[in-house]
Amino acid sequence: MERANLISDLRKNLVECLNLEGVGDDELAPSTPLFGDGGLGLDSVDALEIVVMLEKKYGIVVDSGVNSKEAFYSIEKLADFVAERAK
Amino acid sequence: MSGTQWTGKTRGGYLGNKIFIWLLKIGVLPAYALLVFVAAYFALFKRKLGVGSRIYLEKMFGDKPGFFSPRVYRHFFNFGMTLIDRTAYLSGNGKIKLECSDSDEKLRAALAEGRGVVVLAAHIGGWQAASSALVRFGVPVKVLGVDFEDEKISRMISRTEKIEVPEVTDSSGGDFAGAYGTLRGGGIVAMHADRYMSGRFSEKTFLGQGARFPTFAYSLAKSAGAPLVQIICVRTSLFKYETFAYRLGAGGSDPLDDYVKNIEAILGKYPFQWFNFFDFWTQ
Repeated sequence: MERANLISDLRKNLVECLNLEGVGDDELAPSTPLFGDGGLGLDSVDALEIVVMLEKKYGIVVDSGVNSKEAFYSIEKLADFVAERAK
Repeated sequence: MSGTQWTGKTRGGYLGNKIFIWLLKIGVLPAYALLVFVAAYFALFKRKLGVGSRIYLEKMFGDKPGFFSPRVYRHFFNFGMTLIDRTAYLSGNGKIKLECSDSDEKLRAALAEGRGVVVLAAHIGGWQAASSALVRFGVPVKVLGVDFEDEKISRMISRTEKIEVPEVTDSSGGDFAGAYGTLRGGGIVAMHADRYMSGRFSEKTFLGQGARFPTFAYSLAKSAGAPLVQIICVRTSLFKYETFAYRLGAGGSDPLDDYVKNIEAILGKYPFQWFNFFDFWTQ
């Protein structure tokens, strides 16, 4: 999948699995930090939802060696992670 | 530890801890002997530290501890005793015994289901020594936690340890996907589930009053389809600790309700082994 399409697809899936329908485009830009203050403010339970979404939608099983802080930092980083795992 | 907020640091400083470690080289009883005076000092002169103890003891026994309270002293003494016992046990000196047959059996049964296991502990009794029991099943073990202890003290204590304990992964760094991956690989993910720090929580009645309990562990288990096993390790007699394990949510019950009830039941028998020295009900 082309990167731009992957980012768009990931954004759609994140909005769906995290119930973010009211969040605007500027609040959920590809580079917006997903966790912590100064970003979207997602928490640990949201991180689990993302993991389950990656399994269901992209067939990616997150193993114990994944550094989720890096891989899930933003939609862009998530796209990098998905693209790497899809190889 | 202030009265109302938990700081996570033991008291006594580097020198105080070093003295106890040195005494343990002679034996556990000399360390206990020093503890008699150290616990009295803290009970009498560090009143702020006693605030959390008093709040808990009032709920437990139904009356407010007096200014010079033997119960507060006993609470501090028990905590100090557990720290001494932990260091003694993990140093391999053989004096302190840990009986794990109940938790071993239940963990084996849960692991046999092939979906990993989420192990929940609480700040009760000898949880730190009990974590050593998790490494004997031949599966990956990830312990999520936050260590606020002074780094120099932590290093000094860990140098005495000869019994393997699982490494604690700093959960403030957000290794939640890694925890999920450990479960999917059939491993154990362990964490304390009593102290609420941030994020999602559920309020449950605990010792007669509502208290917040973090809910991440239950979401993790549900996401991964993993069973939940609560393990409590308490000193049941001098020099001996036992672990008790409980399958949570069996039969469709709310696992958090089970968790809280099990803690209340254990504290009913061992009330001085509750080691949350802050106002647990306003965290």
